[in-house]
Amino acid sequence: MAVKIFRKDIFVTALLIVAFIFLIGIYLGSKLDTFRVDRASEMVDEAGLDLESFVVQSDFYSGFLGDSCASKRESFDSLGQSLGKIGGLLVDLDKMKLAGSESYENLRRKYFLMSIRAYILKKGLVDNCGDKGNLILYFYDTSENEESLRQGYVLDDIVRKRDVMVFSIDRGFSDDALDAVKSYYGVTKGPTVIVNFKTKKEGFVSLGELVGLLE
Amino acid sequence: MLDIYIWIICFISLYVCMFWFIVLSYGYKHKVGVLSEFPLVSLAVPVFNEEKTVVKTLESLLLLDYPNIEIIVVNDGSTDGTRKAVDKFISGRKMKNVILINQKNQGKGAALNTALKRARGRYFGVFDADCVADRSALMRMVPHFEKGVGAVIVAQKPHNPKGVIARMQRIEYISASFMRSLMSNVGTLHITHGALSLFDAEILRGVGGFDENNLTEDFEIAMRLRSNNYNIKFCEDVMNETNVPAKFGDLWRQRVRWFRGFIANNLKYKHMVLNKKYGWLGRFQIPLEIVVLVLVFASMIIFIYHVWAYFKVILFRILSIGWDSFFLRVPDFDELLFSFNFKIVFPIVITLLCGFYLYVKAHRFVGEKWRFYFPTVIYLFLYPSIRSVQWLSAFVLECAGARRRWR
Repeated sequence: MAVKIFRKDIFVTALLIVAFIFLIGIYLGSKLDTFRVDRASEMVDEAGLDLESFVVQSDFYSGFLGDSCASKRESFDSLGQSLGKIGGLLVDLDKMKLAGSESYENLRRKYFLMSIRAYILKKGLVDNCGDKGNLILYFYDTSENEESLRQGYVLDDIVRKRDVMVFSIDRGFSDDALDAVKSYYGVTKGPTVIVNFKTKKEGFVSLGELVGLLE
Repeated sequence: MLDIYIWIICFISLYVCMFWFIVLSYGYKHKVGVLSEFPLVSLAVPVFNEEKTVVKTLESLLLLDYPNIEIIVVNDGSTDGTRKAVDKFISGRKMKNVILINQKNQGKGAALNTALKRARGRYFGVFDADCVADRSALMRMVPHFEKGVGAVIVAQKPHNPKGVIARMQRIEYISASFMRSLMSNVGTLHITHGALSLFDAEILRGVGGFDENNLTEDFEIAMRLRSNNYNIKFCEDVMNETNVPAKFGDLWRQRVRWFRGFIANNLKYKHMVLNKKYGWLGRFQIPLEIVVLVLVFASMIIFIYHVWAYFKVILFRILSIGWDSFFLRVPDFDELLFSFNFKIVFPIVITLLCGFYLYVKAHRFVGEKWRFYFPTVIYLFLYPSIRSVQWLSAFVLECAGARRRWR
């Protein structure tokens, strides 16, 4: 009878094969995560070097020419774009629940601090050198915050179509420097946008309203 | 949380695929004897308003190369010209081995029992009036009977399928036949169908004949045979054809009826679940089918969740930035790399590949080349969702105790 060929080892063999496939999946998945974090880290490092280069350039002109405003604005604009892009990519990584791993949390911290540093630099350029150009500091909430999600779409659209820099910060991320900025602007909920250093808007801000706030 | 659900579903699906791969790798072939005699086979053809197909069906039965058959047509209260068509067919050919019994409408189970009472054969075949028989069917099926075998079934596929719905069912029938062959190999086959199932008449009478108040009397009798420890074998050398619903509404009604039958009969034979007495059928096959059913529902919930999430994103984009959001730009390498969720995509891809392999093997099994055409896309990507709703509908109807109508 056919029944006789049904052996218990089929169950075990199938289980072992499937477990093996899943282990491969887990291994490859974690390798890819590492690769992604490494890539993000590489990008943050590049942006860090660009930032450093801009600061050195400004210091040089200030020290040797007495003109801190002589540095090339293009390099800062390009840095701002890079930071904006990295911010978007980190949001993608957030969705994959990479948060919690030490290297990733350090990476985010590095990125947020760099964004604040670039923000401060830009403020100096605007105040001291009469720089123009729009900058939005965006505080978002993670964990299924629909308003933050919608605000993200609006800001993506604005960056694509207008000459605007957006620095995104996770409002829930704890760091002394970030806490100081949040406290200064009185950021209590996400999303919150600070447009050109002075105008603070809490909650979702529509595309039309945001465009109206830009220079 | 969603990741975990998807992983569980993929793990179980992959496990089932792998299990059948291993069974397949055995390359088992049924050993069948050679007929030294040709015992009488009684073929029952229950008909209800089948005037368009019944003659063709009877003609295909007369072409069978088995030399010793009787055909019992039971007209179950047809209101069209079925009776006249069968009468004309019999009188025109002056055949003594074709009998027509007319009775008032009582359902298919009752019609089959009427035929069983009149049958003289050692074997009793059930053949629906919308099917076409393979010429060598009986010659190949009868040798499969041995001690303990209650029934033998054959592979089936749709007859001359036209249109997307019928072609989609072609894939479904081919896959089902392939799986039945594998199930037969491990002794867990527990289905008989109307496209020629052959029963040992004595065993069939012994277990009480057909259930007259059952939506799927063919499944019920198979479960009853198995619960009485009779085996069901699959004759893979025969491919019969059956007419399948070509309209969505007809398909819907048929499937809801089948699924209601599945639920009702599994409840009726729940004592078999995880019962060692019924071997791997009780310990593996039936529990597996129940698990698959749960997975179907779980998949439906995940599918709806995803559709809703996707809809929400589109809605948010439209609400946030207007119709411009539809002019999507091409993402660069980094954006693709960072948005690719490997942990979800990998198990889904592996599971789909395994399913695809079984799909190809199923086509080879019936001697056809596999094709990837529009009905395949519908079958793989749209039909599972429709099926889930059909299951849900069947479940609700059974729970509500809705009236059971065979037609």
